Amino acid sequence: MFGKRKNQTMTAPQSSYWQRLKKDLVKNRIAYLMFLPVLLYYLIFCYKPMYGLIIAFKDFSPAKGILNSPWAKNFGLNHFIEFFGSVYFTRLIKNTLVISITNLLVTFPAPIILALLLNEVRSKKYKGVVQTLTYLPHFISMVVICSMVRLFVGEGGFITQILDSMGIVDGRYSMLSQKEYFVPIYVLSGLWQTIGWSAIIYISALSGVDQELYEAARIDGANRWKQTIHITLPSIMMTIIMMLILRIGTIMSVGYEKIILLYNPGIYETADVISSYVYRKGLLESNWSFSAAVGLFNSLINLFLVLGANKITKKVTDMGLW
Amino acid sequence: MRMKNKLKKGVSLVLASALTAASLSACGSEKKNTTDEIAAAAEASSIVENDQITYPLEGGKKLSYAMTLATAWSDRYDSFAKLPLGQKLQEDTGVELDMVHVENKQAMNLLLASGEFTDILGFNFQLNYTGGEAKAIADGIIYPMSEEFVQKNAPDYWKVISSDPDILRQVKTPEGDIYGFAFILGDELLKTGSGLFVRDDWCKELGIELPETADEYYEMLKAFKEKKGVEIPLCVNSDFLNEGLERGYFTSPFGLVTTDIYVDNGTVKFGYAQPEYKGVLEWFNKLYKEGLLDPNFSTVDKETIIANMLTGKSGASSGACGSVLGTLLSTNQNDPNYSLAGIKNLVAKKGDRPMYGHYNTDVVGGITAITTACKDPATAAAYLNYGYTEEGHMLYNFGTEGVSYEMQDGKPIFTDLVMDNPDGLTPQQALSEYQLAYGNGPFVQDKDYLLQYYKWDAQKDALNKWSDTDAKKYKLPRVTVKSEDTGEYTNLISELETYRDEMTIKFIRGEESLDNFDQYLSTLKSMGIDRAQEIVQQAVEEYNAR
Amino acid sequence: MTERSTGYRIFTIFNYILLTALAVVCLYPFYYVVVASISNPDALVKHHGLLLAPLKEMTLDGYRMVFSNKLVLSGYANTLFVLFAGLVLNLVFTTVGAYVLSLKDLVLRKPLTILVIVTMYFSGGLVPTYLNIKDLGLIDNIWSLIVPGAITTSNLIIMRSAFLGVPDSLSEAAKIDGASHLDILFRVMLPLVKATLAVMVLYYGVSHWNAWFNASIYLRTPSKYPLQLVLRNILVESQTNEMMQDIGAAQSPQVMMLIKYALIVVSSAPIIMIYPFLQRFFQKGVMIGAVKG
Repeated sequence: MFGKRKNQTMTAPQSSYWQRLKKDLVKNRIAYLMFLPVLLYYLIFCYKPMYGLIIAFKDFSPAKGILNSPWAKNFGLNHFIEFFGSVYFTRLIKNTLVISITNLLVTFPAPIILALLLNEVRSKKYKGVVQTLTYLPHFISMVVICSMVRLFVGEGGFITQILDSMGIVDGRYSMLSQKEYFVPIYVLSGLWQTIGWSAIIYISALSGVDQELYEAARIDGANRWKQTIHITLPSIMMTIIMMLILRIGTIMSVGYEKIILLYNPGIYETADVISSYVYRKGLLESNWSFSAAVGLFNSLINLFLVLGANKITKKVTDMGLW
Repeated sequence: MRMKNKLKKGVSLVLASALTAASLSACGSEKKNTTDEIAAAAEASSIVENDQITYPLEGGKKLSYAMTLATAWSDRYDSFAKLPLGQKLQEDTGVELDMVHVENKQAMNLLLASGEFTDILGFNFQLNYTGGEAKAIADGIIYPMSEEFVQKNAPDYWKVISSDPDILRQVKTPEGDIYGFAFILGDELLKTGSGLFVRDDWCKELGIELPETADEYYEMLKAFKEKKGVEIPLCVNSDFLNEGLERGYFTSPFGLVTTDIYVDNGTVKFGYAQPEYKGVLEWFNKLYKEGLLDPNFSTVDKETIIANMLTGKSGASSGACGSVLGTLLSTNQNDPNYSLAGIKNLVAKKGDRPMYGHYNTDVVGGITAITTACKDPATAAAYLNYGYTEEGHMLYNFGTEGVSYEMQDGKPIFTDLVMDNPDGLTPQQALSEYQLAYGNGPFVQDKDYLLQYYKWDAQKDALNKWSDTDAKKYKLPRVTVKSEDTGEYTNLISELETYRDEMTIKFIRGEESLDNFDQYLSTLKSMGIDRAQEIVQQAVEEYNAR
Repeated sequence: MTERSTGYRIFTIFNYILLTALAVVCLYPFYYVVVASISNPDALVKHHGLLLAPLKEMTLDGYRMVFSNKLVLSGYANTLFVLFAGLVLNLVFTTVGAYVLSLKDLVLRKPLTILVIVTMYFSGGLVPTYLNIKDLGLIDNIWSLIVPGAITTSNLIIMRSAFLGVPDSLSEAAKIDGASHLDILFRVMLPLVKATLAVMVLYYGVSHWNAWFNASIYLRTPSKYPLQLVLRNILVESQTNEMMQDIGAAQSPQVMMLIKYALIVVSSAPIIMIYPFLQRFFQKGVMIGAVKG
């Protein structure tokens, strides 16, 4: 995977797959043996409970258990029909995608840039301090972060005031009461929360870049900018692509926690997403099956997106998740 | 499960005479039992004599009991049975408790899902279990009690619930089973807990009487703004506002009972789908336009409201008697120029009685139920009955005499051990070791408990004003939606309420013209409000027929 | 624009300014929390706007109240146990799993990789997972917080890509010398991916530190609770009153605010400290040095 795709010589006919496998199991028995505990872990803790997915097709009732709960109406598809049939379905999908994709476009490249900028810093001490400080917001609970965000963009908040003096917003009103600002507020505060934490993986990748390559490039007369483009970026490209594919696989999963801390009914139009809707519904009734159905729907789309992203990157860059 | 029970009953009738007390009462208690059989059962079980249970029970009984852990004491005790309250309960009743504590309601649901039932369990099925208690009986969790069973095995509980047909209805399922031992509010005063309040010192200063009508209220806010220079006269957020509309603080002047679901002469109505709602919205729109209502009411949080009410940035708000009004009064207690007064819910004409207000049903919150796994329901019932006896009532409400309370002039008064704890515990923490009235349990809550908790006269005065409404007439009873309808119903409700909340804010802020109010009503119709109304109507009819 | 060019110098100045500004902006929330945790609660509740210094009179009541809860100390101990035991398990399982999945000549590599990746998207949900833990006899057992989380699949994938990034020639050479898979993994590979291992320690460590949900459904005894669950309970104490009457919170909201901020400091300060220690693994040239050495 993250290595070049091996130049498989598909000379062996397909029928010999089992023979190859047999041989391989013998030849690499130590490796397979090493993997056995990991395999067992996955089987016991991930695959064994997976029968629980069927509760999306049932009317689950705790006391009856998963297997004995009755099937949902409409051939088990009732919860899906309820969800797809909701008058808010298109709006929820649209908002989820808009928030998620904007978030990806902003918060995905930013940590890479931060890591690259830090890479240009000579002083180890300064670098260490900046790294530690930028990852701090990751440790502050969502509730506190969001109450600060509400304060900053609220009436008289300092961000509102700055934008007011530039004539962009009306400073008497909280920016969160206007639907057009929700996505920018959500995304930029997310950037604030995650930039330092997300940069760590790239900083670690940058530490592996061969310093001799720079030496050679300098002798060839390449300037810093060219070195970054031709040496630094390609060396961490594998990490970037891997993180990108993983991120694409979470596009449908916008968590409800931050949304419900920032939104209000007045801006549902842009702020209400799948998870917050399911959350509000869960307050009325703890409906396990409905949320399982929505979860399954999201997972399928996420998986589909990952498969697609993997295929495309493999075609374009010859690298992929598998 | 119910089929099985009936089969079992058949067998038990044959074997009744030969069986021991314990196993007989485990299964010989269906509602179709003849009086003879019950008499035989009661005789065989030595627990109840002359409709009286003699505590402590004999024979070293043991019961397993599941409940969620209360954070009020969980840092000091790891089990309810080890609390002074638990110790006293075990001593008084002679029953040893084997506790299973789970962290939260989700863990309790998982406990139920895993089939690990204890003999008794405390849980809020109405809120946390789809289909409520009736479904829990159908699913085979709760052991359904017949009237006869309760009469025989929990005579004191029977006295309480049979004293009022309304209460009896509330503790029964649609099928007529008594589902458990309920937490019952023992006084009308306990059923109300929130309403409107204003800065009455400002009113006095400006020579305004405390407002009763919507117009007076409007004039007061205007005077606050113009004469006192108050920035945000009325400070509420969308949660408070929604609560205020559902609890009828602002609706009566416009002929609307509440925006909540209510019952008008037997007919279920959704308040927010009534044409009268338009008048309420127009009034709020006027307040908003004139800057009397917080321009940011849709986004401010509770902390900001509290801060505004404390600093004089605002002069009127609404909220709960304890956590809002009490907090404000306590925080500014040293400020001589600060006072708050509760006012009655607004009306159209002076002297009118508000149509609605904050009002609870008699039976609220969680219940304590006997499960189908219990081998000896009679003992379980006898144990739970204790909370409804005189001694049990005092214990659950006030704790132990001489320790947590003293009798003064015939009234129980909490001691300093709980109200001003030497170890620095808060009253709630300290009380939680001795009694359960701060929370919920199998007993009748006493009003003397609550009144002691309210420290300020303004709180008690407010409570009296807030409870002066016709809410009882309109209150939707504690109904259960049929379990086959719950999915459809919650689906409808969550869509309708999403739309309602969204439109309410838009109408008030003028983003949506009130000329479009009829369109709002017709959209609600097209979203299926009639079907939702029909489902609740059925539930109400079923309730009335119990 | 060589390193001594004016362009690069301007860039460097700009870079320092930008990074410093970012650091300040990111420090602020933590600074705010610390300052708020020692401010006068009554002043705090009335305060509106940017908080730059503690509000008079300063108080340590918040911390006193947090530590008066006897479960806080046992919570620390439990969390540390889960953290260390968990990390050992995480690192062993993750590196071994990732190593095997990085072996290019393995016939079953692709199906096994897919088997692993699927679990990122599909899980059985709460109920069967709970029943599974119950069947394993782990209810009310601290190991229920450790074993089920032995591997986080995305971390496994990151680890695997690190192994794949090591030039094939190194393991080939070791193989020719007759090294076993274990030798290659521990002697050749791991020293080369120290930086990624440090990332794993951080990712797993922080997730153990912050975890509370599993504890809330699997544990039944307060003295076994990890720190985060204890802290959560202190916070929601004021809201436990499920009763509609709202008899009054355990503490007034301003005191709760104070406790909330003190809690965040108490709970996050120790884990924040681990990053500076891990940073030395991110120094440039760590890996290359190892290759040569």
